[in-house]
Amino acid sequence: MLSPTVLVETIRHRSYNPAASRLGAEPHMLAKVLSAALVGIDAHLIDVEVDIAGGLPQFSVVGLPDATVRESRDRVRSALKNTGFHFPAKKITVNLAPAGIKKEGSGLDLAIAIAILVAEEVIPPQNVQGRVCVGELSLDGHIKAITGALSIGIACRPDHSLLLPAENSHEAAVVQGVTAYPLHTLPEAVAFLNGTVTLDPAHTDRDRFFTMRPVEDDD
Amino acid sequence: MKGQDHAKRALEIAAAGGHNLLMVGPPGSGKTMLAKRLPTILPLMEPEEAIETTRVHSVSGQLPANHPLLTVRPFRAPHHSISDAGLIGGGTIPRPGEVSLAHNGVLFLDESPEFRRPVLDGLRQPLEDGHVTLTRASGSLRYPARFMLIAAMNPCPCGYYGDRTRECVCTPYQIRRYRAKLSGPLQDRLDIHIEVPPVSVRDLHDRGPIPERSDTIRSRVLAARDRQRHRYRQDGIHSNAQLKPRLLKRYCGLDTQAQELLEHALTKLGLSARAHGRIVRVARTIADLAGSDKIESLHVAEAIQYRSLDRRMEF
Repeated sequence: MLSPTVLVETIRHRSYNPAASRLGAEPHMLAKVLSAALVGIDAHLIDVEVDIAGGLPQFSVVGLPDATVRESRDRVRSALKNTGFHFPAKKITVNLAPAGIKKEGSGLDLAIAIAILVAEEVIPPQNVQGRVCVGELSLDGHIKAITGALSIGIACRPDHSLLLPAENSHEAAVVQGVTAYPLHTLPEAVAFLNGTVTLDPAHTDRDRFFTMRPVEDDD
Repeated sequence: MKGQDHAKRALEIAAAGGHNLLMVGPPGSGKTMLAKRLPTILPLMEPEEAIETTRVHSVSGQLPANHPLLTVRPFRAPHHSISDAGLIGGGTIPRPGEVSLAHNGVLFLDESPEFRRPVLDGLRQPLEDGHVTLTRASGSLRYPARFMLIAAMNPCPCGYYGDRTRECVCTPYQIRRYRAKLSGPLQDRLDIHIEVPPVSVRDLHDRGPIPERSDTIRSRVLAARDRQRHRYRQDGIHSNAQLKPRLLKRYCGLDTQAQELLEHALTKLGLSARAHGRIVRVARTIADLAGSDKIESLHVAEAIQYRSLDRRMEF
């Protein structure tokens, strides 16, 4: 048995810098990606911050998430793993700021996954600047439709471009002055952010809808 | 759409002035069909209106995949079993209800007396303010809810009161109770009352006059709406239905002949002071449809008949 002094020494040593002794300098493991959350019919931009630290593997989401947002941990983990990305077996903390807004829905999945990849240095941090990522992830890495795309498009105006599910891209493109990139899968999103793939922004012809005639259907 | 010329005219007026409307008629007389046609005679939404309505539909996940922007006015017809949270909006994180999904469009309540009383009374705030404010412990949210209300009801529980071909089996007490289900404050907000009689066989079998096309009616509605928009451009309103008493005085002056007719009708028919305002508003819309700046006694006369139920409700 260890004497109490030795025990304290051991703990102090471990908590002081467990990784550095083995791996040398720690890589920068903090990342920030923009996303959006709905409050009523308005969308607010949300900072999704991810910190990856040594320690027991853990994945926690803080910053007033509701049940669907907390569930995104499982979707993000599976989506990353199933699309060939490395899911770090470390202590991952996701912070959603501002903490005062209640975040609901699955639209934050994509931003959390991208932020983990930025923290893992798969995507350079400067490539996500000025971009808002929204989308729900399926376990195989597909990006599924979200609600409120039009409001999110309005919230992105005028400084941010928007990466969102292809199904919703035409809706966001209704907003003038917003570039909306349609996405189908997580690897596609990563390739686009890394510049290895180019995407055409979605385009919606607003005028077409204002020349429509209401149809008189028979019943 | 065949027959029911009287009802079609009333719908045209309602569409032109943004008036709320109550249809009373026996089963099968076409109340639902008439209401469903209403969006086809309404103008498309303005760009700002379209964005706002689309946002509500988008947030509640009800936007059709091929319509990223809604421009045709929405028509919502919730079933009468709807809860107040479903109609007004609600939940722990409040979702928009039917009133908000009908924003800038039409909310149709078929079999309106069958709706639960608290549900119907919940309509008062949106009818008055054009939005609903939902407050929960987590905070308060506001959803837009400016819509045209079209209510339909049978004249009595069995449905055949006043029908010439079938006999009504309801007692006066039953009828009174049935009609009282539509609360007074709600009835007050229904500018136009019409009776929809059963459709005659002649009209159904193509022997009647050729019915007017929706497009033709719509162009008249558009012209009348333009007149109103032009007239109220500095008053922050855009339709006759929104006229407040102060503006009513300014824009709806009656000449002596029309004034006399109205006073005569009010006393003879035993109509309330509140009905007075409604009649003048509707007369204003009728004049707009006729392209007239002045409200003539002719217009007042037509408007008076759309209050017939004020009297018929009490007997």
